[in-house]
Amino acid sequence: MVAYRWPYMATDFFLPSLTPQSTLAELPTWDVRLPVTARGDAFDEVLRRQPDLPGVVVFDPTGVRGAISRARFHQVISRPFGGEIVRPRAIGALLGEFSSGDLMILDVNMPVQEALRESLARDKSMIYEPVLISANGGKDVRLVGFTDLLRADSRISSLRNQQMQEILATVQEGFLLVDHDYRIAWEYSRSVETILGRSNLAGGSLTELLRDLLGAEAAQLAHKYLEALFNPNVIEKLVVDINPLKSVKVPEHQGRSRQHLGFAFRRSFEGREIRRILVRVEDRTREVELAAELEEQERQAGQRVDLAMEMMQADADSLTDYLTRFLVEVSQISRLRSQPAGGSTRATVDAIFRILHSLKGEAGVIGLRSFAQRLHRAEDVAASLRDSGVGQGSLERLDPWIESLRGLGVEARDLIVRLSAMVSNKVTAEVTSRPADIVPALEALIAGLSTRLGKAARFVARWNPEDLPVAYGSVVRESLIQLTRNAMVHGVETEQDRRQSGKPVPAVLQFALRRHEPEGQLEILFQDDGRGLDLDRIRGRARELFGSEDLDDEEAAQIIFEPGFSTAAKSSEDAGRGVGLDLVRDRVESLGGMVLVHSEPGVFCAFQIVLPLEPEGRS
Amino acid sequence: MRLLIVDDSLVVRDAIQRSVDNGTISQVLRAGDGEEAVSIFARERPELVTMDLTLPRLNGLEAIRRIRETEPRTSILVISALNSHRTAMEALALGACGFLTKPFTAREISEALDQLAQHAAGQSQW
Repeated sequence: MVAYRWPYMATDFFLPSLTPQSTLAELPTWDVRLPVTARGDAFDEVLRRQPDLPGVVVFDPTGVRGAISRARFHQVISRPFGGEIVRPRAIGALLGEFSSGDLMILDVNMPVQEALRESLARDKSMIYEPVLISANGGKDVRLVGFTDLLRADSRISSLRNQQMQEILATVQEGFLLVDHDYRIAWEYSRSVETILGRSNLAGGSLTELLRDLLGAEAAQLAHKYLEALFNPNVIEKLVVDINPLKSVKVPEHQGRSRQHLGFAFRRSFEGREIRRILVRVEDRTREVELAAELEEQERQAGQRVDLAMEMMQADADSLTDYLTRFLVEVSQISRLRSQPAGGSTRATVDAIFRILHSLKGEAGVIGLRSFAQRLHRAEDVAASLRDSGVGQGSLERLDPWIESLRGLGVEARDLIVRLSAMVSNKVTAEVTSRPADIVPALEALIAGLSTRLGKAARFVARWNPEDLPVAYGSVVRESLIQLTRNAMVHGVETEQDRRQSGKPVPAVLQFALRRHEPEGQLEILFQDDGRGLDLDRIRGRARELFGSEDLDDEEAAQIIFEPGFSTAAKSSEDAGRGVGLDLVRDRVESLGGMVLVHSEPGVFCAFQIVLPLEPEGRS
Repeated sequence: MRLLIVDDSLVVRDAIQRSVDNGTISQVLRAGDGEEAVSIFARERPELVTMDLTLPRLNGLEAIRRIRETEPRTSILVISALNSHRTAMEALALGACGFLTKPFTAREISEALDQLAQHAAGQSQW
């Protein structure tokens, strides 16, 4: 009595539908059973009819009693007189003889690959025996051959492999695995090849690949980092921050342009053992470029806002005057740059320098810090050219700054145009031209310098603005700015110093303007009650800077008007370039006037500017 | 578990100590330089150490080396500015378990200390 049940056909027919998750339920199984009372020759008959049948299940009315495999049956009947003993007898009586060990019974829901592992773990004598599969809580028992299990497992493995290959070929991310020897495993994504511009990486050393791409230093660091990741004493999460390859620059090489790469590393475990490191590779070039662009945009936007704020707060007339002059002077700098004055580069740099310095001073007064800062940086470049003994070619270093200044000037002018367009309907009528209102500007400058330098000072002006000839507006304004800065930086002491020497706080800066009609002269006095000229210090600096020896007091006092002279050790936005007083003297002298200095150490320093009442060249 | 905080800045020592979870850490010891760290460690043998790298008298790397020499099971977390990757890698090679970069937030330090304590607990089980 033989009971066959579907399916029992050729196994390969079913295999294509397998997946890596397939369980024993999806395998073709044999449901061939014989009762315990069936004779051995019936069993022999069943085996002959079904050459692939691995064995049969034996049952009695109470249920499954066991199973007899083809291999075991043949083994028993091939013994001497085996057939004679087995064939006429009921197989139930011989069950103990046939199943020499415990039969393996696995649940139908067990994944195929796990089932194979279990069956391979059996005793060596049992390893080729079929496996019993129980379903419905043991009520239903079938057989699966060991070779079918092997075949199914191999099929699933190759499917997995194929899926892995598909993933590796299509995934956009670049990843690879390295082992303890830092060798790259075969399962890396094709994107890695695209990102790195290298192929056939499997089996190669990651360290060598990195050395080739990033240089020896980075490769060595990466090697040490991998070493740490393989070290179980190191806590993976607590070394993420110090990944040396988080963002690295790949220099141009072999016709490929410069790149930014990002590497991330993760441990891959087998049980508790760190077996490999998963390395993710990203091309971050675009990202880094975008970040830089964004930063630049933000910086510019920030500057534009600052500039607009500064312009809103500035006095409207001074602002327009200044901007006009600024643009004219920047053009003048360009001209000087392309046609060096008198063929001397040094003279050109000096001239450019003084223009920059003067523009910077006025920017400070009006409150245009954006201008003052950029002019200061341009001055830095000019100063370094001047001090390093300039060659003709090095003037080029000024070009980007000239461009940058021109850009700033144009931007500010456009802003004015736009701002005034917004308000023109309302306020045009109110804007009247006032006499050069120098005093508020100087007061603002003093207030700013007071805070920055920690020196308190007040300003006293004795003048009638109408006494100042319009033609002198600009020169007087510029000169007073330079003198004020000079006084605040060099003359006026800190509050503490003044108190110690019993001098009043705040210090006083005085400005007076007088017309001397009979002499046809305009006299401008500017005085501070600071420490006065330190003639010894001036002599010392004069020796250092110009090699001047044995200057008498008069000569020493005059030295302060020399271009390049400054007693300040460090240059700052405020002073110390040794430009300023020479500028004042040059401007005044070019108008036919003169500058005198008077000083008493510890008490005061006064500058007297005398100009012809009728500007030269106009009379 | 006990923790030794090594940093030459009082402010940083306080900041680290404030983030300590009293549930896991029963006692906090403090040292202001490398020499002091090594001698306190030799006397007290705490399971956990946070270590600055730039320290007076004896630098952090050397202190890590000596501490691990005394007791190889100690879990050391470097808390320092990342001035050079080379130094950071050296700290790990000498036996540090992790590296927290300055400046840090209270949350970062407290998470890092948790991880360090867990790691130390795992070590003692072996």
